[in-house]
Amino acid sequence: MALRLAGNDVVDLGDPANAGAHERGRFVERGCGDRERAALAASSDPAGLLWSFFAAKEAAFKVACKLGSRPVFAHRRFLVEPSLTSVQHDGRTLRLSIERQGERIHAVAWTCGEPPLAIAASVSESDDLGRAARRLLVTSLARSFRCSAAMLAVVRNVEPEAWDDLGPPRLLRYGKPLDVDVSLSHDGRFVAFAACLPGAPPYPKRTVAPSARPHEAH
Amino acid sequence: MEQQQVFDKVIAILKPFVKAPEALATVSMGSFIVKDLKVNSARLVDVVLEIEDTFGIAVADADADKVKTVGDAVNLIVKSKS
Repeated sequence: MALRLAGNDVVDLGDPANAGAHERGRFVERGCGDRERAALAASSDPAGLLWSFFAAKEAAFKVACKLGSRPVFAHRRFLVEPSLTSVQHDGRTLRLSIERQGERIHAVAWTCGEPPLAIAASVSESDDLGRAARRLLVTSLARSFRCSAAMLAVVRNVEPEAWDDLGPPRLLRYGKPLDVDVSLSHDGRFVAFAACLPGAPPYPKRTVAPSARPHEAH
Repeated sequence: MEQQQVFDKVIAILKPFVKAPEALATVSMGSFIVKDLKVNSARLVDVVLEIEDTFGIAVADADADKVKTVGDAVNLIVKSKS
C-alpha cells in the first residue's frame, strides 16, 4: 500500500519580509520555474500567487524528505501547477491543497489518498511560534487518540543529513510513537499543521472561519 | 578577504532575517542558520541573493543546499573567491 505522507506550510502575507517579493525579478527567478513565472506575470494577485507557490514548494519539500533520499532544497526544483492542484518534483506528482484566508496562505501537499487533516490558526506576537504550532497539533489531535493533550508530545530527532539538522516531527503518546504522519509550520502571525491519521474517514471540507481563530480544513 | 571579514559580512546579511536575535550574541561558525538563528526557510532565497550581490559570486542550488551553518556559508564564499 502506498505511503500516505503530508507536508504543510503557512505564509503570512502581512509579514513585511514577504512584501514586494513578486516584484523582485531575481527572487522570482531563483524560486520559480518558467510556467510559474508566466502565471505570475498574468496574475491579478501576483503576491498571493507567488507565496502560494512558495508555500506549496515548502510543503512538497517536507513530503519529499520523508520519502527517502534527501532532496536538494531549492524552491525552483519543485514545480507547482499554476492551478494550485499539484506539485511536481523529481518525476513524482504530489497532491496539493491551498487555502487562502485574508493574509494567511496554508498549503498542504500529500502523496495519495484522502486529503490530510489540516488546521491553521492565529497566534499572538508574544507566542513562541514553534511551541504554538505543537500546541495546536496536540490539542487538535487529542480527541482522535482518546487522551488529553498533555499525554501527547511532538519530537524532532537530530538528523545531520537534514537541511535544518532535524528530522520530521513525530507525535508521541505516553512517550511512544503514534501511527500518524504530521507536519508543522509557522510564519509571522500564523501556525499550522497537517496530519495523516490512519484509517480516518474523509475530513469535512475546508471551512472558512470569519475570524482568524483555528479552523479545520478537509 | 580574511575569513573574519567574510564572517562579519555574512552575519550582517543574516541579521535582518534572524527571528532569534538573542542567538546573535553567541553566534559562531557552528551556529545553524535555521535551527539556531531561526531564519525562515523562504528567507534563505534572500540570503543567497544577498551573498551573491555582496561577494560578486554565483551560488548554485546544490551549493546553497549544503549551507546549514554560518561556517558553511563562510567557507562557500571563501572557496568561491579563491
